Amino acid sequence: MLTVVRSAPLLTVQDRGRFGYRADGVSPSGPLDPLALDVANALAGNALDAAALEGCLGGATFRAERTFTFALTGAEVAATCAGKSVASYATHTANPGDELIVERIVRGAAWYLGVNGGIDTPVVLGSRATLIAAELGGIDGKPIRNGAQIPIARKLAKPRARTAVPKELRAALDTDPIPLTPAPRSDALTEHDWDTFYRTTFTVSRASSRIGYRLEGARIASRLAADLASEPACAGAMQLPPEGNPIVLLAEHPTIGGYPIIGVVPAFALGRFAQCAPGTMVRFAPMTIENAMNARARERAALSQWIAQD
Amino acid sequence: MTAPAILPLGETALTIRLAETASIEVAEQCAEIAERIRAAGIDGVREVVSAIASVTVFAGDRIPVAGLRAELERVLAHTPSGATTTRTFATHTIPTRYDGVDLDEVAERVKLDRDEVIRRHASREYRVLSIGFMPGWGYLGPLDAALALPRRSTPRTRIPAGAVAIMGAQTGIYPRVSPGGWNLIGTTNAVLFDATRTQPALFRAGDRVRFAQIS
Repeated sequence: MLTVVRSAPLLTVQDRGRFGYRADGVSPSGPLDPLALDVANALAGNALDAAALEGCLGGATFRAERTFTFALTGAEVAATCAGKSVASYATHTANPGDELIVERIVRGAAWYLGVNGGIDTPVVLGSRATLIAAELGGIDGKPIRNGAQIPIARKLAKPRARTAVPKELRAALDTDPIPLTPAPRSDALTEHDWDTFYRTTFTVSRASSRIGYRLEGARIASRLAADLASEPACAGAMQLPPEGNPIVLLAEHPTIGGYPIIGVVPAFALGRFAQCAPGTMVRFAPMTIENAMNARARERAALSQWIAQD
Repeated sequence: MTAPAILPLGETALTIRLAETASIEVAEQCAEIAERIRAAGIDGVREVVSAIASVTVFAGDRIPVAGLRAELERVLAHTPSGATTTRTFATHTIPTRYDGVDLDEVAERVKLDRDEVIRRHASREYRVLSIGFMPGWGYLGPLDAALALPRRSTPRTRIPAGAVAIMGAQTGIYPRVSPGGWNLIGTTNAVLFDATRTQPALFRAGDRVRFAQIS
């Protein structure tokens, strides 16, 4: 058991997501930064389908009610356990009564607390991921409040000491352009408008959430009619509303989107984009489907290789 | 039928677009194609979502989207246009109390009396055009043109579960307490979404729905 003494602005239970129910109107949810969740689980000695805690937009304070091994990944944070500084991307042990304090986010938007055994909230439709919009999964489908008791599953074997997490498996938290792959309505922009788009530096709006991030910078004009039928959406889908500020949908996106989808942030870059907290400046760069698949394959191979190394 | 466009939705999904704008015929065809793709058991297809004029196929991690395109073309080539053939879409009867808070206002705005609004809403069979907006929400249509009203100018912050509502050429039922802007004309006890069911949403795209007035 883990007690939440002081919750983060947004703290939820997340696993890799709830797949298979889009046709029922249920989006997969899951982590904003999928690779950071995987690495948190690996460091904590869990299988990659275990659930962990995702903290967004600020720190949180926990109290250990029993001994457990844990790891923090994702956003760069200032954290302590029992008064001692805790480095992210490394395995640590908390003893009963210890306070684990994520003081604040230094850089990034979402951090992950992986706990040996995994967070043991009920499985709903095959997943523990919280989908706030539908109140599914996690703790009553809601953001975790102060005082909440978080169940941890039975301890697994203590994770073996791992080699340091390689750089490519850590949250990049950099300012490189975010790749954008083609989507069904990529033709909404003329070549000239795409040039403008790729030259624009956008700012992630304060009006952002796990549903999606709104981008401000240039108003992008669509040359399409306004009455087009809604089409299915996915995490990473960039929608263009009539007012011209693009929205990139994230984990809790609606299954069908009302606005034309002009591009998709590919899976391997989704975490890097989601770590751009409100106020961060972002640019985009075009990428082919093939390059996106190759980048994804390289990321998965690097993860498997690192996990297999120990 | 002419071959519909198969368009990439990033590197993990393909969208089959049957038409640019919504119609009952196209929505029915989308639902049919979605069922056929599911039934085809194509390796690597993880999920199929039917929207009002398109169908999106989500691939698993390992399957290149390129191979999937050829499989989808094969399914599309064998899908006849017109009458649905793979399965009989379910027909649902929704017991409805026409006691919605907006019913009188709706009657006034469409210049019909209250009973005529109820008669027109309850006297036809609707198709589930697509599922979306929230888990279990079905867009049902077409609504009698005489009942067409825009969204309310100020959305409500709390609409009760089971509220039967109308907007434009469509009708729908709120699966759970939520904010919303549709015009509320009735209520039902039908459970539109239940996470403990194998198929949690009561409706599937393509299903038929009737409203039966109860007092």
